[in-house]
Amino acid sequence: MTQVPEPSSKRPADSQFVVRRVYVPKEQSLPRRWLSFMRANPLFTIGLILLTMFVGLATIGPFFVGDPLRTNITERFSPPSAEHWFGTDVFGRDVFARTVHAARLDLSIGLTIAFVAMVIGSTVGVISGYFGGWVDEIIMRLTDVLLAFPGFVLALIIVAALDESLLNVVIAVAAAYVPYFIRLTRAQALVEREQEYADAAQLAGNSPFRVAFRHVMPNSLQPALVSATLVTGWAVLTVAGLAFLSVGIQPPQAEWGVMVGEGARDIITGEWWTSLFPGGMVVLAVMAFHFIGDDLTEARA
Amino acid sequence: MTLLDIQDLYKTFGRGANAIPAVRGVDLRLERGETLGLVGESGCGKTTLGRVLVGLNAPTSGRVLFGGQDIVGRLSESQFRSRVQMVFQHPLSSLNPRFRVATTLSEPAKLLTANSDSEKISKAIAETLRLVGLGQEYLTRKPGHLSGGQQQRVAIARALMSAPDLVVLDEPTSSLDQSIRSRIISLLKDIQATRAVAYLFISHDLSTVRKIAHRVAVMYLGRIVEVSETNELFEDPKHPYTKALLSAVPSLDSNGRSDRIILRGETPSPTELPVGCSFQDRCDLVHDRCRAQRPELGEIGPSHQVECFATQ
Amino acid sequence: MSLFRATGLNVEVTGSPYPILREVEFSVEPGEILALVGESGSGKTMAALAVMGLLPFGIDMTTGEVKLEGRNLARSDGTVERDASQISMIFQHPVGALNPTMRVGSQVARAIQFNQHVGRSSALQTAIEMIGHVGIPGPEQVARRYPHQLSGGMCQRIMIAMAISCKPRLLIADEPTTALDVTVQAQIFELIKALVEEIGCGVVFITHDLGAVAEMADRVTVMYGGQVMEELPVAELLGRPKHPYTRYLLESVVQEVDHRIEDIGVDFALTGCRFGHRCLLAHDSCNEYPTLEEISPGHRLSCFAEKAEAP
Repeated sequence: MTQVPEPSSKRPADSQFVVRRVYVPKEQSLPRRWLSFMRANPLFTIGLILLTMFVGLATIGPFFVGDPLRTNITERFSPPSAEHWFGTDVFGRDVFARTVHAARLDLSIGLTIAFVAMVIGSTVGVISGYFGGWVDEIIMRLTDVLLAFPGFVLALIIVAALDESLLNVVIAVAAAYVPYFIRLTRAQALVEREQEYADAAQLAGNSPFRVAFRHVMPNSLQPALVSATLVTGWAVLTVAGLAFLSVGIQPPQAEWGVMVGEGARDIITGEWWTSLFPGGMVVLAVMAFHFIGDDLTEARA
Repeated sequence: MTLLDIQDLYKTFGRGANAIPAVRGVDLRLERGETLGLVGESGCGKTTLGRVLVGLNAPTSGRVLFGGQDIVGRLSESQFRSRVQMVFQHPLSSLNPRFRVATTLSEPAKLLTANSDSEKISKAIAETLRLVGLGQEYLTRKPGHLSGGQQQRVAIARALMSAPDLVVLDEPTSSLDQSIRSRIISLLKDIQATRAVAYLFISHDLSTVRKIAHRVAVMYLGRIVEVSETNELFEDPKHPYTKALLSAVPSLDSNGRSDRIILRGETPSPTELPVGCSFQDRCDLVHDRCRAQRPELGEIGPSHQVECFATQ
Repeated sequence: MSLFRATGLNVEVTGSPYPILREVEFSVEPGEILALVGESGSGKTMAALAVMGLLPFGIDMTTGEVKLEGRNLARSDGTVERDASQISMIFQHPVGALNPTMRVGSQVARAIQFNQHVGRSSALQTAIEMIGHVGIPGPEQVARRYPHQLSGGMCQRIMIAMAISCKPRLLIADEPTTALDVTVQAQIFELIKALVEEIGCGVVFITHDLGAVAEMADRVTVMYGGQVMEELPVAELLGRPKHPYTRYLLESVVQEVDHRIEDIGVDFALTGCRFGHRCLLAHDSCNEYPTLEEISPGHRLSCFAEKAEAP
């Protein structure tokens, strides 16, 4: 039998050997890959489509529709038609125009609230998680106090306490969601501070504050970023809900919650379009953020 | 003067009934440019000792003399911080995943040295990178794009940036593949020859320790039970635990050898230690004195110390 | 007749045409310890799970015979009949492999209760005996503890107690000591060897540690990329193994040569030998899939090198 010689690290230069493979299917083209992604993640796809639509509506929509505040009593309560896609309301205002303008308002408020809550909540959360001790205890108890109130009720109380301006609505609703981000980021910070790189950062000469904000915090943000989508949806819902109660954003401002508030009583007399369309928009918007946020959260887990 | 002189170091975690004594009165010395291997199994306190030395945990009592000065609680001062550094066990998690290599290496340079000149810092980074055998192209990479061996080289470079006199290495090769280990060990030895830096090499892997350490200390339940020059420890171990530890390592020449020492029982919990020698329930040479009194490290030869009544 | 013989094991990811394990076979004699050796990703754990019928969802055994004392346990639908009184398994992370919410004595007792069809209190008695038998002092007290209160070594002994409580014909040990200290490892090795003598079962010892192989094994099966490369007695492994991959393995450990430079990972789509792209002896016939052939008593090799021209 042939002796097997000593293996070395290099194949002889004159070796002609080429491995043969069974048929390997071609890489799928980009559109095909998108299709299979969409089939595999239907809800995410729906959310993405809806979100794109809303972003489009919110950014360029207002340039193309009529004046949301223009009243025309002669045309009040007209049902949906070619001229007024969503009909008109009690003052003869075009519901579609109002809906589109409201999209811009609601979405931008929602995003702002989520952003503010995230920034404040994450910072506090990292401080709490990294430093621990009595700082952590105090922050956690304050968070508990905030969480004792249902988010909506808390926002309601705060807006009622301050005067009713858009800024205060943002503050109030953000306050309702800050505790959520505090908890989320704190949990991640607790994990990250035990990692060896946090120790190494200390050995490299960083003060505890630098370790917390330069090292631990950026690595603790991921769950918060992912949840920000969900929170945006909830924020829109909360703002609309407050406006429905005439708290915060008031008529004649075009806002989905305001419109539902105004149009709710019209249903009894048969004018369903004044509340259904804006209400439907809220539902779709929150759904869109939920579908996207849920999938992102699962993907992270 | 001795570079590092650990005197009667204690570290206990927790309080009262739940107190866990991880380090129970350790005395150790380390000279400049020397490598001391610290071996033991899980729970013996070697990692805790390393962490206390570099200041990540505060000792319960005892002194750590560095160049003659007690550095306990003073390691945040930059004069000491720059001179005592550490390399960790898991290369990937010891590097900030969001930092490029250049950023990771520039931090100790900026924070721990007098260099504020960015040009000087870049030069120092380039030089250290070369020292650990990595090319300049690695500066822009992030840890996730490096192999385990490369990550550990970056970690070593980071530890060297402040020109330390002592580097504590906590299981630096345990997460690396067999074939990479020897390269990292050779690298460490080369660096020691160039920079005269002392190593405290903590490991449970005896064969790796043998290749790099000048002296070896064996730790059991928070105490040093034997210290000796490396070859002497491996060829002529004196403490019963050291003998068992050495014989337990499976090697390719073993083929079921019959002279293997199998220890009875398990390592006792540090919260339930017996009076006297903590090895008494597992030791074949135990006698009454071992149960009554705790032995201390005693010299049995030049630079060979053992903590055992049976050998003294 | 072998105690245990698995042949023609082909394991695939559902829907994928490329097999993870290809024509894998290994066998054990009574009272023998077979080491199943390979680096991570070689498929050794997958092979064990396949013969136990424990393949995860999404991975199927498409063909294969699993014969225990002559009887084929593999069913035609790809599942494998599993009887704990015949084949038992112990795993790598002892504390994690035990149920954290149950006392360890109850866990062992349950195994006995269900496999030997005895009553609960009788099973508990036997469980306590077994726990003492595997070298744990004070078994009555230990039986009342939860896994997180015990050390890794003790949990591994508990797992062994569970595994041998029904006097299995075959014990599969998947890296049982990788997570344990070296002195504990030595104890576990002694325990396993003593039990093999006492019960006369066969052991499939899965590991990547060649030192452990030298300690424990009588025979060795070497795997790479889901393919069996060589099967030989342990003395020949340490002497002069014949397969290029086995020699690579030894070189990495003994001489610490870093072969990973040419490692581009395993390509399951290859028609031929899965070591082909790294082997310096590779030639055209290596695009055919090699089969295990006996080259000397007890030594089988799957390699075309012997048919190559001597360079």
